[in-house]
This record gives sequence, structure tokens and C-alpha cells, in this order.
Amino acid sequence: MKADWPELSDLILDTDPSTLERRPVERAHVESVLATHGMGSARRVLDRIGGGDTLDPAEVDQILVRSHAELQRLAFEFRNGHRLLMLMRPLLDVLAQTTEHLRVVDIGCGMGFLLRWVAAHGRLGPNVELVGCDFNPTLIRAAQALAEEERLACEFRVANAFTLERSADIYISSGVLHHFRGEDLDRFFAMQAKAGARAMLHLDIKASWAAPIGAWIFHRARMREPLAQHDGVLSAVRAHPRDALLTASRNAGRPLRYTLFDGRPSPLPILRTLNVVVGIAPELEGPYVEALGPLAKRLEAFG
Amino acid sequence: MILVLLGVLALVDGAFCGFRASAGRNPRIFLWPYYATAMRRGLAFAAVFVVVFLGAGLAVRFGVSQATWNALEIAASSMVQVYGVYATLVLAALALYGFGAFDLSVLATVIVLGPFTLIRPLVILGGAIYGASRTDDPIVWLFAIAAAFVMMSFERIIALGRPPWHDTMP
Repeated sequence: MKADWPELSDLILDTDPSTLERRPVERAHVESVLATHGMGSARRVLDRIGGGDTLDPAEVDQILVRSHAELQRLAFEFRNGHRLLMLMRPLLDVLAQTTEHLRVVDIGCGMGFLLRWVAAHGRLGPNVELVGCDFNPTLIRAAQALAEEERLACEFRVANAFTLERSADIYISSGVLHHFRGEDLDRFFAMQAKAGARAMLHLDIKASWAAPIGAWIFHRARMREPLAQHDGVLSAVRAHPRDALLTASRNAGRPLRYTLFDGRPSPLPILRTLNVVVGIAPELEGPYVEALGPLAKRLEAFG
Repeated sequence: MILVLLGVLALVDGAFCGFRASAGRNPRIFLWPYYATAMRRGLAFAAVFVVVFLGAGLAVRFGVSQATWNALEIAASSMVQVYGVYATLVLAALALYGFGAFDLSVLATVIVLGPFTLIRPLVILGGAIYGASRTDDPIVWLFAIAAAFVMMSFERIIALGRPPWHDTMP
């Protein structure tokens, strides 16, 4: 697997970013992309998806729902909700000193595990609004239904996270950064800054020699869905190195300042399998570092 | 006695199989009642097999020969050595995961819980081969092969019928 290989989940789903309308996906197109990259294993996964010349959208959705459910299990096991909350709670405390009503928006939330977990366990109070955005209506319908069933105070929308009626105070994401490469990654940070974010927390796999091995082990041991197994390992291969994340965020995401949590290279990378891009408005930097307490040691300097 | 110990290990494994078979199939947040049901199902299915195997063992003792029974105990003792070490490490990692600090719990998953799930079939096979190799009694070999087959297929077996993860997707 190579870092420039596209993830299959990005190929089998096509949404117009401006109208949010789903576009049909030609099987031949996906096949040609896979052939160009020599992605034989992905081809075998593709061959299992029904439909003729055009991929069956209902089946694609079912595969994505199952994959997200399996991914949620992994996120639960790796305590991603805890990880996010221990960084977000001090941020909310700092922001609450100047703003009464705070909005947290999860970009590319899928079935919304992270927000639903935070809503269930975060005890954030009524002044913190949790909104999840994704382009896929099926995933969003599932997220909303799950939230309502468990009476969780969060909402989910089929929407572009950057064009909501009201901007987020904090943008968050999980496992999204590695989907963007080159200018798209720059744009990802630029759009949040432009939308008026005061802070952001983006959690993703930490790039290291051990990441693809660990991802292979866990996606073999925990996942059943072939697409999830394939893309899970590829995600670790595609994970952005520390410098790429810092460069992209600092070049494109001004006026916010950026650093990484758990981003320092480690001789034993299995100790830190995920890292978090932390972006923050310059005036909040000092109070946030102070509010983090001992956790601040795991931050690098903002820049 | 050693066969009972092997049976206890099978019951523990059965409960964990129930957990694993159910995990990743229900995207809700509050899942402990769901997991408890799945683990009870794994335990119940395992209990059935343990009773069948113990019954077959007793039938060997009283219907075939004392020598075969003795060979069964020797094989079981060897299997317990392998499965016991595996189970001890997994349970220790689970304790660390459940009660350790945040980083330690993640470490327990990364080093033990994930990789040990992956190697479980190899451990089952290794234990069965090791146990069978300690005797030259074909009946004991048959027991070891059957036990290994059941353990390796267990997650599929407990998925039969209407498991708790049936119809859990939104």
C-alpha cells in the first residue's frame, strides 16, 4: 500500500460539495483508478459491491453503515471519546469565559460516534451545542436516529460544515485529516479559519513505522467488512507526518495558531497511536495551556 | 480435575467469544446490557459443549478404558498449560484496560488485546496439537481435534439463530 492510493470509501461515494447531491458512481471509473494504482486487493472488495455499470447506492450505504459501526467499536476501544474530551473540556471552559453559547461542529462525522459519546458522557451542559455534519444522508439519518433513541443532546445534518447558518466555535474531526492531501489539506484548515472558528481539534492516526502494522492487526482482529479492513490499513499508510500537519495548518489556517498533541516522534510509537491537531485563536493560547494542566506537557509549542 | 479446569477455560473463552461476536454490530453508545446478553449467550453455548465433552470423557472412562482416560488427562493438562498462559495474559490486560490509567489501558489494547485476538486460532491449534502429541491414543487425538474445531468455529456457532446483534443497525 502507498500513501497516494485513494481509499475505496472515497471512490465508491460521490457527492457534489455545493448541492450535496449524490452523483452516480461508474464502476468502470473506480476500476480504472484502482488499476492505475495497482490496487488489486481493493478491486476484490469492489467486485463484491452490487449494481451493474453503476454501483448500487443502497448497497454502498449498507457497506458504509456496517463499516462505521465497526469503526466505532475501534474508536471505543481506543477511547477516542475520552481523548477528545480531555482536550475539549478545558477549551470549552476557556471559551465559556467570553461566550455564553458555544457550538462544536464535527466535520465528516459519519454515524456521529464521537459527538454521541461526548453527549452521553461529557456532561457539557445546555450551553454547548453539538452538531455533526456529513455529506452522506444515510449515515446522518442513522446518527440522528441513534441520538434520538438514546436521548443524546446532539444533532446531525447533511451539510457542508463550513457553510452552516452559524459558524462553529470549535471544529472537531476524527479520522478525517488523512483523507485530504496536498492543497486539499491546506483548504481544510483554511476553510475552518475562514468560517470563524476559534479553535479546532482534529484527531487522526499518528504516522509512524508501526502504524500500518498496528492497523493491519486491529483491522484483521476487529473488523469483518472487507472495505473497512482495506481502508483501515490504508488510512494508517496515508496518515500525515507531523511536519505535514503543522505546515499545512500553519500556512493555511491563519489567524489561528497550531500545534500537535502527542505529535512528538517516539522511539516506541505504540505508546502513542493517535495525535491531535490543536488550533486556537492567539488570545486563547495561554489560558488554554494553563487549563490543560499536566496534559500541556504533551503539546508542542504553538506556531 | 484437570478436565474441569479446561472446561472453565472454555467457558471463559465462550463468554469472550460472545463479546467479540457482538462487538462492532451495534452502533449505540450505551452497550453494556447488549454485551452482557451476548456474553451470556457465549457462556451458555460454551456450557453445552463443555457438558458434551465432559460427558464424552466420562463415557470413555467407564465405557472404553482407564488408560484412555489417563491419556485424556495428560493431553488436557498440556492444553491447560497453553490456554492458561494465554487466558492469564488476556485477563491481566483486561484488568489493566479496565482499571489502569488512560495511556496504560490503550497500551493494554495495543500490545495484548488486539494481537491476542488475532493469534487466538493459532493458540487453539497449538494447544490442541501439543496436547495430542503427549499421547498416542487416537481417541484423545479425536477429542483434541474436536475441541479445537469447536473453539475455532465458536463465534460462527453462537451467531446461529437469533443472536442479540440481529437487527441492531439503525
